[in-house]
Amino acid sequence: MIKIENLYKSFNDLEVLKGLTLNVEVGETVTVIGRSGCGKSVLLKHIIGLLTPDMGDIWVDGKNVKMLSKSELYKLRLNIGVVFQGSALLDFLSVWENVALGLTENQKITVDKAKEVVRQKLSLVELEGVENKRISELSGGMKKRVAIARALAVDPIYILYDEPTTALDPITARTINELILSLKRKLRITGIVVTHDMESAFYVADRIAMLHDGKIIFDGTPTEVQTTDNKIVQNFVKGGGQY
Amino acid sequence: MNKGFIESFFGYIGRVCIFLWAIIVKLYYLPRSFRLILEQIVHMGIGSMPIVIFTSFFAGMVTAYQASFQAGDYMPDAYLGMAVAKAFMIELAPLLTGLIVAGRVSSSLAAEIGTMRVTEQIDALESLAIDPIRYLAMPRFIAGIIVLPLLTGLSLFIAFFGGGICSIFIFDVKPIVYIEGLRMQYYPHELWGGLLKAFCFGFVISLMGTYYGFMTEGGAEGVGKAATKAVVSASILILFFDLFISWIVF
Ligand SMILES: Nc1ncnc2c1ncn2[C@@H]1O[C@H](COP(=O)(O)OP(=O)(O)OP(=O)(O)O)[C@@H](O)[C@H]1O
Ligand SMILES: [Mg+2]
Repeated sequence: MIKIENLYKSFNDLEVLKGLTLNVEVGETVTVIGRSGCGKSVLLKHIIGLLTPDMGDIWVDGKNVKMLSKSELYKLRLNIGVVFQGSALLDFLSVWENVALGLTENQKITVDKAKEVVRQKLSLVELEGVENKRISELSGGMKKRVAIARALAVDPIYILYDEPTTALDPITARTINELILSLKRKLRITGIVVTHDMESAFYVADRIAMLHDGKIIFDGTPTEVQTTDNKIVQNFVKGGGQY
Repeated sequence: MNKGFIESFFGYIGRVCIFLWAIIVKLYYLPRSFRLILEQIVHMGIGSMPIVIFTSFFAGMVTAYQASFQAGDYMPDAYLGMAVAKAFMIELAPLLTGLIVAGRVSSSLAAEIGTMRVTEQIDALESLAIDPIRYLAMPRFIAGIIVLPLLTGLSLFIAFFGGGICSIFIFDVKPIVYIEGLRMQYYPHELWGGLLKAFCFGFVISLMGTYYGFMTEGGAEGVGKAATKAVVSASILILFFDLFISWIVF
């Protein structure tokens, strides 16, 4: 379970998060929507302890992230898969080395075994035969899918997706959405999906939370989102109204 | 001198020392990182070889030429070999190699790691529970320390050879006489002093390259700045250490 309480964060004079509170129950997938630059990626980075809050606490599995020692934090991260917005694949490694990185660096595993895991994870995201390609040879959408495979490689309990379907064509986007759903259903993976893509949000989410002006201003089921009379949410969901 | 300068100066030294310490505590993982270190040694070493060979060869010839030009008339031929060997052992081989490699390797280290910083690759490593200092900085740091003395040795050899070519073909010195110069007035501590310099230069080069890489912020522009800063500060520190070690050893 991920619990974010009253989180504040500012960079120099820019206040990004101003008292954000959000709970994600076990097995649940919560979508966080919000305008570009409102602090969605910053929120995700707090959850894995890449950024420290100015104020407020984040609890993952009952552990307060900012209080953890470095080794405890690393242990926690083994349970959390992260798909970064820009994919963030290591460009001096090949595709399979990227996907296997969390395995080969953190546990004793033979190359054959690691390759087997990589093949399996890559087939989940519908990528085959790219194991030995360099990262620079991939398209943006392929990178995104490799990044998802990498996040899944260590079989995490939690997974944080930062815009997993942007830069993908509608058909691949659908595959990814279905993958997110099936991971939730089959493995009960708890997920946070940051997205702009409302279709995807409605499809994968148990709950949708809207981040606006540093706070969660709305938190409800997809049905509630569609029937709400909150103007900001309505406006966002309908893409700013009619042309 | 205002307070701001002193503060920022010592702040800088402090940050570099903290970074260095972070690398040093990761030396515990040295055996496990063997492959990463080897890759870096190959990458830095092989990549720098052509330019080191080229520069040392010409510098060796020039040194022999100048020595002969300055003192050729009243100096026995064997002294030519000695002049080249000594000049390169004590000073020129480490310094030339250091400055060349600083330009090549510091900048590429800073740019490589800086790019990884701004494209969130370092965050991604963290998220995979891999310590970026252990995985990226420590192997590069150790590789730099190993590669520089090796390249300096190569430089010394090539320069002596280049000086020999010049002496033999321009000044008609007999090869055996030129090589004999190597043994004249040879003091081991001169060779070791030179290699100690190379060791320190390797330390400085990889420390500055990785430090500025890790401190990069602000996109592509930041990466460019990091590369420049790494080369400039590595070069300055090399000149400083050159003087410092000469003063201690000789
Ligand atoms: N390391 C940082 N240093 C300074 N400012 C930062 C940093 N990280 C984020 N910001 C600022 O925080 C704000 C929120 O950034 P964030 O990346 O979280 O936006 P986002 O909601 O993910 O937007 P997008 O949908 O475009 O990805 C931005 O104004 C950004 O400039
Ligand atoms: Mg973002």
